[in-house]
Amino acid sequence: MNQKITTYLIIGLFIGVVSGFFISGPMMYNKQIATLSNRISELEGQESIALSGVLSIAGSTTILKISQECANNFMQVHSKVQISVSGGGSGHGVKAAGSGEVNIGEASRNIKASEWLSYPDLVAFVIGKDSVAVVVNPGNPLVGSLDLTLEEISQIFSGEVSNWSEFGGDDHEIEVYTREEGSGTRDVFEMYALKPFDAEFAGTASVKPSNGEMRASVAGNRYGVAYISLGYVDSTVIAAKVEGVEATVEKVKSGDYPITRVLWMFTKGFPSTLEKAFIEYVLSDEGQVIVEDLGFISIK
Amino acid sequence: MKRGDIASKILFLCASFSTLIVFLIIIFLLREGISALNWNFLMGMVWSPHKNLYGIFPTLLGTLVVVAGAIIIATAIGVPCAVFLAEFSPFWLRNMIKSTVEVLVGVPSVVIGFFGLIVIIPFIRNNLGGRGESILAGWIVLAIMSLPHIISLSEDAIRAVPTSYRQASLALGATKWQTVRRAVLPSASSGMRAAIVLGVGRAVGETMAVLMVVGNPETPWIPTGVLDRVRVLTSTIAIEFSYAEWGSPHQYALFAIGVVLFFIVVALNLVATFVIRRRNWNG
Repeated sequence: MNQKITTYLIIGLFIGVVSGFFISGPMMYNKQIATLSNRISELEGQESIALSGVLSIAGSTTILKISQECANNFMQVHSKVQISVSGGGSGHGVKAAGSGEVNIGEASRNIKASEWLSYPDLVAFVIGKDSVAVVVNPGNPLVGSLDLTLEEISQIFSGEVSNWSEFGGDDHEIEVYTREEGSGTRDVFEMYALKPFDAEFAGTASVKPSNGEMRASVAGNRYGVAYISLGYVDSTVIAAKVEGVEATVEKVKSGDYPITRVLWMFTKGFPSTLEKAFIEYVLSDEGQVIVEDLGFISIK
Repeated sequence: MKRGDIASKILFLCASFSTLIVFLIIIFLLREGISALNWNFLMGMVWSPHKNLYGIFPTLLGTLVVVAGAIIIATAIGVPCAVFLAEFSPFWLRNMIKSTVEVLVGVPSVVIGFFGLIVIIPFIRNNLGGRGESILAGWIVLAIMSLPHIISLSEDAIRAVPTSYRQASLALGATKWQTVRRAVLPSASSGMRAAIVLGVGRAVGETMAVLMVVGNPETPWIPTGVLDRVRVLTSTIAIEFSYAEWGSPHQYALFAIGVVLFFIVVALNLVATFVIRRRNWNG
């Protein structure tokens, strides 16, 4: 029995020493590098460049595209930073940031008065601008000539006009898709296209929980119609003209296209070093190029 | 203290921990949801949070219709498949089919939903009419998802029937088919029914895949046919929860949906237990 214990002890000691050797070696080495880089940044009079930690971002599925791309680039530069990005909608973004559930929240609409009351210590940053486009399937015979007034849009999405033949298209039901309540895209679209005409979304509209699913639904449905963030418009769907104006970044910038909105990021209280560094990256020239590349409008 | 004692204490701790979790969930759900749970909630026809109307009847009905149809399809395909695998299939073929079917269990529901969105929905729209998003699409997607559970559990039940039953039947001059039909299947039936009930449980709880294919209308109504669109309970929670304001009636209504789902699952489990106990199936 005693012999057995001694054997275990010896094996244990051996493993301990060997692994200790392997672990401590690189650790000491890393430590030296870390002190060295701290020295360098101190010498240059900067803050420590070795950012580290975990950052969580959630909210608008419109801004999701931007924050994913920015997070990837940010993590490449700062290898010790882990960023997790998720959707959930603007309503969720405000709630999650306000309650401290995530570090940075996103909303593709302005913060509502009721939300300011619930979360008075939110600090908000404008990170870009966007618009909302009405999209149809490329196979729809009306494509190319589809030019809608805001009032016609309200009639389509409230179900008042329910057949494509009323616009000179096929005799087929207009199949309306909408976003879930709480979506910033839905709020903005409702504000511009439905509220002015006292209209409400049709009860028969199918609810989709993200910009991506809205686009996929219309891309697969010849008689579908949906509204999505301008940044999500690609070749699988065609954006209709609104009040005679094409839905393009230039027309939104010039103010001709009637729907514009501001994209927000916010933190609970003043942002921490890491939160600040990320938001500053999004606002930097490099970050704003990403914003433009993804089809949104930069703040520059 | 002996080693065995320590081991059994640890095992007991693990067991009580998992039971505790279940009870904590129940208490939490009931505390948050019970206030919104009443007759108007269950029988109300209109679900419209921005008008403060919370009636889940069309949604509840939609859930039951989608689940029932899916289980009928899954059973009609799964049970014969299990009989074939357990009684008629050569060994190599059985292994091949079974491992293929078991791969289905590991496919994330979102992926099956995406398959539904890209393949099943356009197929229904182009060949049967309607929008494509429909009860039928929900049936197909949920049937695909509960099929592997029904197949493997039914097959286990059939294989658990003692060989002596088969030998006795064959010795009496019965053919292979007669043996399977009159001796094996009746002995395995309680196990097979339990398999189906567990498949139902799987289908009721499914969220993402169903959400993507059943249409999920803004204001749900009573469906009029299999090509009509419905809403299901789970996807209502999934879509609206992140937005519902903390402490609002909307949030309590969503918790109450959770309570309703919980009771459906408990009822199913009771049925399953009852079905298994009724015959002394030595699974």
